[in-house]
This record gives sequence, C-alpha cells and structure tokens, in this order.
Amino acid sequence: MKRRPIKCKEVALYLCENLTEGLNSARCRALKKHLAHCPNCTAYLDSLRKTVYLFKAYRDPRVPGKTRKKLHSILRLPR
Amino acid sequence: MTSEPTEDRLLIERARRGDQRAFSVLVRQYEDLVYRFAFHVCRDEEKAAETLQDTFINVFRKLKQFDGKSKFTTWLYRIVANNCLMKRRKRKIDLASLSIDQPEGFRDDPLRDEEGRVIQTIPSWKETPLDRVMDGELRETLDRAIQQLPVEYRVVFVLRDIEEKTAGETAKILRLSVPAVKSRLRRARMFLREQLHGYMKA
Repeated sequence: MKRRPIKCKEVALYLCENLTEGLNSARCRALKKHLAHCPNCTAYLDSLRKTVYLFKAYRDPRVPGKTRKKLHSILRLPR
Repeated sequence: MTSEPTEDRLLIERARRGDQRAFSVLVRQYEDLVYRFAFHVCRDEEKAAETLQDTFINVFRKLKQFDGKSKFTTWLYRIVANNCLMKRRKRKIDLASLSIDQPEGFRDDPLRDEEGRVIQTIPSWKETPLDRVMDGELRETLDRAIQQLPVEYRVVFVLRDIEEKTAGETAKILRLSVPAVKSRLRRARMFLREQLHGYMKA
C-alpha cells in the first residue's frame, strides 16, 4: 500500500513536540523529505528553534547578593 | 539513593541528621539553581527571591522526609514548581481555548502555484544576535509572551527547553506522565512561537 504523504499540519505538530529530540528515527525520514521540499515547514521549524533560543539566551540570573544574604540569615546558616 | 553523586549523598545524610554545616553547604550549592528556575518560571526578581526562601525553608523542614528514591535536584525542582503552581494567579488567557491544533499557516496544505509548486506562506524569522536579546523591546516581548503562558505549561517549557531536562525527568519532577509532558511542551512551544511571530517575522 502506498504511504499517504505527510501533511504540513502533522509536521508542525510533530516538530512542536520533538524539536530537541533530533530527527533521526525511521519515522522522521518522511518528515525530513517533506522539510526538504516545503519552505513553509522549514520556516516553521526555524521559528520554533529561534523561540527556544531566545528564551534560553534571555537571561541566566544569579541570586542577587542582597537576596542571598537574607536567605542565609533566615536559615541561620553558619558562615 | 539513586544516581546521586557520593559527595551530595553524604551531605544530605549529614544534613538529615541535623548537621548545620552540611545543610549550609547544600544551600550554597543549590541556591543558584533554585533561583534561576524560579526566575524563569515567575519572570520576576521579587517572586523568584520569595520562592527561593520558601523552597529552602521547605527543604529544611522536610529534609527528613526525603527518602533518596529520586535525585535531590528532582526533589528541589518539585518543591520550586509546586511553590510556583500554588502562587499562580487566574490568567485571563486560557490556553485550552486557543486554537493550538491549528498552528498558524497550517490550516491546510501550503498554497501551490499552477504548476503545483509550494508558495511559501509562513514568513521566515529575522536573525537575532545574542546582544539583541537584551534589547528592551524584544525583552518586553519575551516577558509578555511567557507571562501569558499558564504556569502549568510554563513550568514544563522551562524544565525541558531552558533547564534541558529530559521528558522522563520532567515527568518525574512534576508527577505527570511522559505523554502529558510532551503534550504540554508542544502547546507551550506553539503558543510562545505564535506570541513572538508578529515581532520576529522578517
């Protein structure tokens, strides 16, 4: 039986769920093939990757000195 | 105890027996992790600081109940997540009501020209160098987007995409099934992408 071609919507849903899992499984071959010929899905994948990148790059906060001091004092931590 | 570094295991054991110095080392070792996670979920320095305090007060009170069946960090993340979930406010936006199964541009197969070639309908996003991420307008867009994401979804997004936990670890931390984690992550990514789309399209 001929395999039904994968639709853009399915690609988008799959990418949203498995973005960081890599695209190496057998099931992904159809996706890769689709992506190679579909500028829409390629743009969507790129925008998803950028979404994650932006939130990751946004800030890597460290405990402010004042907050750290207050915490240690509340917990009565020895110096 | 499972897969805990030996040094941590010993510290936890000593702290459980009431050794203040061991507890102090544990706090200093993990305070940045707790604050970072709380900040990414709350997006607010004051709330993150409050969560940091509440978390370690809880750790102090409940350390004797920590049975070591899960990793100490799993337990810590769980306390922070529960804390944030408890503090959640009623959101005006209900994610479930959004059209999340119909991602923008994918309502049908892509448009094709007369010869059957796909005509691109989704605009590409502009390149954003790291220094622009700190740019005021973009920062506001990111803040607004994630604050509109309900905390149940936000916490999954932060654990998976920012803290880089696996689906299994995230499921353990939040006491959810792996399919539930995957589904929430999918919805969160779609939602955030849609929120940024207007600003980011080239």
